[in-house]
Amino acid sequence: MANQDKKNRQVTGTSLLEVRNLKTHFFTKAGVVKAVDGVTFDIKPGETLGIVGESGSGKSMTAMSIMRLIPSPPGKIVGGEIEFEGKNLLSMSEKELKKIRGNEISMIFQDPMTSLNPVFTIKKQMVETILTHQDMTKKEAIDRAVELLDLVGIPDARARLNNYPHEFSGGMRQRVMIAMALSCDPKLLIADEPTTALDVTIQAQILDLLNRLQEEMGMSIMMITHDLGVVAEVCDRVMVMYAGQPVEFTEAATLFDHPKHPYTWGLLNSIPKITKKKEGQKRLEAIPGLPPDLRNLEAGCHFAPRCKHAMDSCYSKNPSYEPCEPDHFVRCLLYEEKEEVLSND
Amino acid sequence: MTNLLEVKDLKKHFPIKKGAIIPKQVGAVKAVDGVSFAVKKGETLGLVGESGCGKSTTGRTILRLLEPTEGNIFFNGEEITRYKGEKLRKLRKQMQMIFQDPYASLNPRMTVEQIISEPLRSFNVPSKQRRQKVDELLEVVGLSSYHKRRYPHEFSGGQRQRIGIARALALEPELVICDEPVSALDVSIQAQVVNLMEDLQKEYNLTYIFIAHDLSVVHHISDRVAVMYLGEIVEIGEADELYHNPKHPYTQALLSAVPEADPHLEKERIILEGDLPSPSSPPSGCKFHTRCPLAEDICREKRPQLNQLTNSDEHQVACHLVKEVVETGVN
Repeated sequence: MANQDKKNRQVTGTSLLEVRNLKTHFFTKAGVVKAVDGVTFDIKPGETLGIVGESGSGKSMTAMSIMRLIPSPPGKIVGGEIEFEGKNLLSMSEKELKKIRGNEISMIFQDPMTSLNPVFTIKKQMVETILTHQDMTKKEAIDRAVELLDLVGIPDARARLNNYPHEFSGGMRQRVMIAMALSCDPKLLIADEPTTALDVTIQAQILDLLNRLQEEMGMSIMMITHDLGVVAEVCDRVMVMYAGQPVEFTEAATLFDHPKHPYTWGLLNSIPKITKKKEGQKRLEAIPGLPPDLRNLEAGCHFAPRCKHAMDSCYSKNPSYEPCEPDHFVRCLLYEEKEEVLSND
Repeated sequence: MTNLLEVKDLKKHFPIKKGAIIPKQVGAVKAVDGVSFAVKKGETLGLVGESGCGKSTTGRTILRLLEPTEGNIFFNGEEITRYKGEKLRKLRKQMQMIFQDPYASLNPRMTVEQIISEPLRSFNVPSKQRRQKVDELLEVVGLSSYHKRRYPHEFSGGQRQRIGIARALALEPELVICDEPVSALDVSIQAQVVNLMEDLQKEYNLTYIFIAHDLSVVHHISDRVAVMYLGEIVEIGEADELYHNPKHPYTQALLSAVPEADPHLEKERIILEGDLPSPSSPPSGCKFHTRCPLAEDICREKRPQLNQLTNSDEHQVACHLVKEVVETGVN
């Protein structure tokens, strides 16, 4: 069972990846879009970090920045640091990056149909990936591909290597993508909404598979999702993002038990829970309004216009991203003010 | 409460044809294969299932957007299965649809006013009344009348879905079929739209058929829920009863697969093996037997009927292995 596996997993040691104050902006005709604006987090070896947020919150762009895959122009990483095992990814040349990308950090995407090339067989695509990064003969690479497909639970792997992507179902295609991503034993797997396009029963299979593979191979996973259920299921720590900024960052269990940021409260309250009886929950507590336009963000907290607890100062003062408790970061004036009040006493 | 809609043994098969000059039918995709249920006035019936289980086809066939292959549809006690021409057009006034994709279901070249008033225009409502109605509808769905001169691209996904809802309500329908109305929306916006739909239902006494793959949203909004698998209903019952006391192995697996936003929940997860079989050559007997962890010999041979559970009059299940059922013998 996924939950128990997760609890038994010990996450210790220094960070594998450290991102500090990352800023990725897009310079468009209509203005500067601050897609990622001051993101700070770290991933420890063997842990699963969840990044949650709605569309446009900058979670995918954070991942793309780590992979240095931001389309430029119009995009540009304008500030911050990304350190992977102590090496600065932002100052690397394209050649150095190639050794990391797909090798030590690999990525799986939401839509397995568009991320596989429809005109080549799985064999060709997998062997190409393996040969790019590893010193092998073609025959060895094919054997490795079979081994990987076996690992991700594709029956009759050797025969299926000759199939084209369209001959696989959605869940199977995602398995192929995972197999390709794992072909070089990456230390970090970035999974960008890996189960969003799948049905729940298939989603359960894939989450289970990722859990098992992490257990066996000991890699870290950065799980980007909009589904708090998936977070509760697989993540050790979670970062919640809103309008390009992290608003809360803590252990998964703490986030669900003691959420601090009003946006996190809103998210948790707006999803219906199936384990509760209907009488107990009459109306969903929606967050009013819409996310802000990232081209002209106003001063103050970006969430303030939608926040039930907004104070006057929220519209003028930028909240800082500080720990309100050890290992619990939150970007909200409610907690800063409280401390000020306390320190005044 | 009386039944607004009744569906009896509804089938929709899409022929597979081969041959360039004289195409011959070589098979059929059995998208909907013998579905029966009733919807009471003012209630919400949820239809859930994985992609390809026939839930959308069921919705479209009820609206007569697709011609049913077999079976009967009764609306307000009248059989509408063979309605044609003007009679069908009049009927359409009472049944409307809300679509999944708020980006594709609104014409990008029409203003919001044109979009919402189009159904009114096709039923010859005079223009002055039309304008009034558009203002009224925009307000009802939480937009303002100044929005009516704008085009769909100027709105966010949630707002577009509100426009789609306003269009569906323009003719004051009795039945609204909602085909994945919130799947494309972010959670915070999804809750706004779900709340809006609930408010509108109360205000206008609407009857909903709510089609979705998100089990928690369906549970929240529905009075009763039907679970579909490969074109058949495998279980139907009152929402709380079905979610807390699921009888069919497929319903159990489906519910156990939903990730719940509670890390302390210790859930027994049933992981189904394999994928959905092809609806053009469904398995014999019980269609679920290929993935069912409990399947026995009888499941491979005999197709189970939808039977009433003994302790409840709303809860029906189609499984040979559930014993506490009332044997009716007919389906």
